[in-house]
Amino acid sequence: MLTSLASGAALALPIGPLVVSVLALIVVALLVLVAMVIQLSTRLRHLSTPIYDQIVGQAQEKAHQVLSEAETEAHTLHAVAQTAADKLLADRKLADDQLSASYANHFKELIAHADAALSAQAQEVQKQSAHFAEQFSTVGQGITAQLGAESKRVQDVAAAEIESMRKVFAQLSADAAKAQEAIVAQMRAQVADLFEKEVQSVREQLTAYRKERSAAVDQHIVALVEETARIALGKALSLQEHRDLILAALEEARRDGVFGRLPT
Amino acid sequence: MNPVLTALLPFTFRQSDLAYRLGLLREFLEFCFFTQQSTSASAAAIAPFSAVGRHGLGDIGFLQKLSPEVFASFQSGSFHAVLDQALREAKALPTLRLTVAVVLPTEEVTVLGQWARQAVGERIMLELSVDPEIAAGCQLLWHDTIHEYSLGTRLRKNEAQLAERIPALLEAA
Repeated sequence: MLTSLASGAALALPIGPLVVSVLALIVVALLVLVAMVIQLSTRLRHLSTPIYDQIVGQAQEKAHQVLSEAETEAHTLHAVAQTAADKLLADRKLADDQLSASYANHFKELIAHADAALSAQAQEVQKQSAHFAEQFSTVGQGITAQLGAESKRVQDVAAAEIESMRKVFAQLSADAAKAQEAIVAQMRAQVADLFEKEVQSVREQLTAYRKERSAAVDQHIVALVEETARIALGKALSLQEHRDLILAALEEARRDGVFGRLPT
Repeated sequence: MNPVLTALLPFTFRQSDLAYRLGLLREFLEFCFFTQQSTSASAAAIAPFSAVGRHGLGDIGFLQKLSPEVFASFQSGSFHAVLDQALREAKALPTLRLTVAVVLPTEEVTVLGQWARQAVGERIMLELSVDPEIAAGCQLLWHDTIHEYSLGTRLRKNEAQLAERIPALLEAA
């Protein structure tokens, strides 16, 4: 049949790929067959060894027993340890109480001792203070005496210096007064000289000014007087006085013969 | 002389016053003859003329100074010609033109006018103008000639004497 298939396939397909496909199918079929054999072998071995399950059960039971005994032993040990701890704490507390009492007594003794020491120290300090005060007073009196002597000495020196300075200043004042008098005399002479020159200059200027003004007055004498009179008369004359001056002017005109002839 | 001028001249001394009063008289006569339709002018019409209210007391006083004969001399048909003639004669009157320092009131002008009519001629009229530069006295124009009689003229006439006296006075001061 293969031959026929091969021949038939050879009719439609090339011979190489067909052979490879057939071989691949054969390999797959073999692999499936091996897997089934392995699975069946495992099941068979399990069914053939039930003793293992019994051993496992016994081991588990023994383990439970051991655990139970261990737990019981642990409770026992815990109770013993608790009892021992309580006893230890009680002993410790008693020791602490005793130690506290001992410390208290010791502190009382220390305080009493410190009080005594402080009291003695205070007495000593008081004594030393009195001693120092006495010494200080003695030293102070000495210093006061020294200061008094020093002060008197300084006063004497100062008085001597002041007297010396007074003499020096008096001398300086006298010298300055002399110098001032000399300067004043010199200044007076200079001022008098300047004043005399200034007065002479002013006199010359005044003379020149008067000459100039006189020349100006001479030149504009009529205009000046006329303007002055115009200003003065314009404010000072009444209307009647103006009228009288006009009449006087007309009379003068008539005397001058202005109206000598009348129009025909 | 025109009778109107004869009536006005005794109390009128300025040409300007004369012209003004002739005009006022013309206005009054027109009021009498045309406004009031009177057949003659008289002093009785002065009151209603005054009531028109356009004239001052001086104007009314002037009309009241005119005599009844003056008013009676005017006729409605001829007063214009009479007044025109008076105005022409007034302009021909001899006029003395004075330039003075200040404005003079009527009373002082009257004194000057009376002096002029006594000293120069009885129908002399005045015409005044004002120039403050005159200061005092006057400048007069007579027969087209200016005659200086102002203060300045007097000073210039005495310039030599002033030039001698004033510096001496200044020197003494």
